[in-house]
Amino acid sequence: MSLATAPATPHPDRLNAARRATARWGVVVLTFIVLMIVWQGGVTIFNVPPFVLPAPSAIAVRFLEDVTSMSVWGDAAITLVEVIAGFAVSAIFGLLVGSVVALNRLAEKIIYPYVLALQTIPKVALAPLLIIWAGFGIQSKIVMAALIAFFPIIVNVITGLKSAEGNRILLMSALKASPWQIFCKVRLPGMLPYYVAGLEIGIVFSMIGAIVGEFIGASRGLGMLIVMRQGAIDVTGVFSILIFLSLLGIALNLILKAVAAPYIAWSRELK
Amino acid sequence: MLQNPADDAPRGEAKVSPTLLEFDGVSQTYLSRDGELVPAVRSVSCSVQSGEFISVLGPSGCGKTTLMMMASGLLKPTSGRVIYKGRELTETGSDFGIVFQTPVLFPWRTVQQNIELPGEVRGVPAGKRSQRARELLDLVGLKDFGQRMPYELSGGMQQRASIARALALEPSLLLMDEPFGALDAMTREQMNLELQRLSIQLKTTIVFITHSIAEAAFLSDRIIVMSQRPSRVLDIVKIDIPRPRDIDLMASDEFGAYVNDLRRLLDRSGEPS
Repeated sequence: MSLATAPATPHPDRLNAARRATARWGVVVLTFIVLMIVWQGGVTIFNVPPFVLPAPSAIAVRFLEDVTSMSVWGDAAITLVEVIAGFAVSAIFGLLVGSVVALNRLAEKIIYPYVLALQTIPKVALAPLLIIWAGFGIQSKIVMAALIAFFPIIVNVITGLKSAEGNRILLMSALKASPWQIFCKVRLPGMLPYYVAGLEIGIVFSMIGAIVGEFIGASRGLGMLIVMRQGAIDVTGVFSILIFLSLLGIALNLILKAVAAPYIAWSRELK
Repeated sequence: MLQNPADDAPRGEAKVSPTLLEFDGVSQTYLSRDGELVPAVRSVSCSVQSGEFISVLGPSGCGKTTLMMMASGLLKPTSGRVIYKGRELTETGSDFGIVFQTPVLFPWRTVQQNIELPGEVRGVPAGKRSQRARELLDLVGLKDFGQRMPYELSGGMQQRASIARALALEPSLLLMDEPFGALDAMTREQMNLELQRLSIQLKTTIVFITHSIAEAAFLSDRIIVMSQRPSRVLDIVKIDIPRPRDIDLMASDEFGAYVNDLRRLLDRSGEPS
């Protein structure tokens, strides 16, 4: 009876949680505002010329101009295609090669030394070669993006597959499961959290790859725009592109997290 | 109270049950890392009757798990024979369920999906195995927990789920390797009662590995007492107490006498348990 007449106020814990979330975001926003004021004030007081460090207000204006002008969007789309294509290639090959290396002793002996050797080369140094082999267009950037993203992904795949709990495998053997069943029902699902962690690094790396590729030589893309604007001593313009790149990176990361979340929700609960 | 292995009879008076599992002079030797041969189990001979609840009791690291692995066919004996239903086991058997000390549930599957796993592996049709899983959830007292994830369950409940999974394919033999060793004392007592209820209800043959004397005495028809490594059978003790056994039994003189006998037997082998 007392339950029926109880007022419909939210649980105090939930109220506190909401308050804590507001406070956390408040801190982030406040820090940002203070930082911008200090930057703006510093540039004005010390009279820093805009070709060295433009004021945030100038950058904001320029960014809005770029957003409304169609040309930057076209370059952003090119870069986005390079990043996603390169990322997809390394995500697929990382999974395939990583699985073979993790599960087959002989394949590990043959392939893994090359994977390691590849990792010791700064892959950025390969960019000039890639332009010779794959051309001036987006293909060379895709290869670059894929090369850089490949290593963090394959390493996570291998670690994840090898970390399968012995008793789970033993249980499957007791059920007379085939190696393929053990792979699909034990190793693969258990490896997914590792894979997603690798992909999160990989997507950032493939952005680096695409931009570096464009620096070396390209006719379109955000990286190419940076080089062009730097040549014109348009530092405000460079900052504007940096905002584009950072927003692109954040968006890709959020999408990846959202897509992966249902597959690895269980692993977050174990901690 | 100490019985000769030869004249043992399973519970349920003079009924003669067929032998389900037999160890015939079984030994197991491991090759250690420095290349030495380490004997784990030495010439064990004993038999398990159909429908019997039999415990393997011994100090830690005495090769009890090795014995269980050989009973399942997952591990081949170095010498001797393991005979299951009258035929020598030459590969992993297909008629047993297994429960480990930890639940070994798959955290990415719901409790029900975990219990359906054996059926999935063996190609049991989806409708049939999900119906079986629901029956088993009911049987082990997890009726309303099928759609939960394992991490939402307590340790005791997880172990119940793992027992349900072991029973999924209706095996003739249930192998349990210290299944309640990781649980707190109160949960453990409760699980012992539950297991007794299950074994009476299902009449599945159970081989139960433990290093708890009281647990073995409470649950078993017979107890195989093992010595320290390299382990051999010290004796086979028959527990002549009718079922269902009550938890109060543990305070009785009759039970105490069994426990004392078992302890003395183990002490003589060199290690108090």
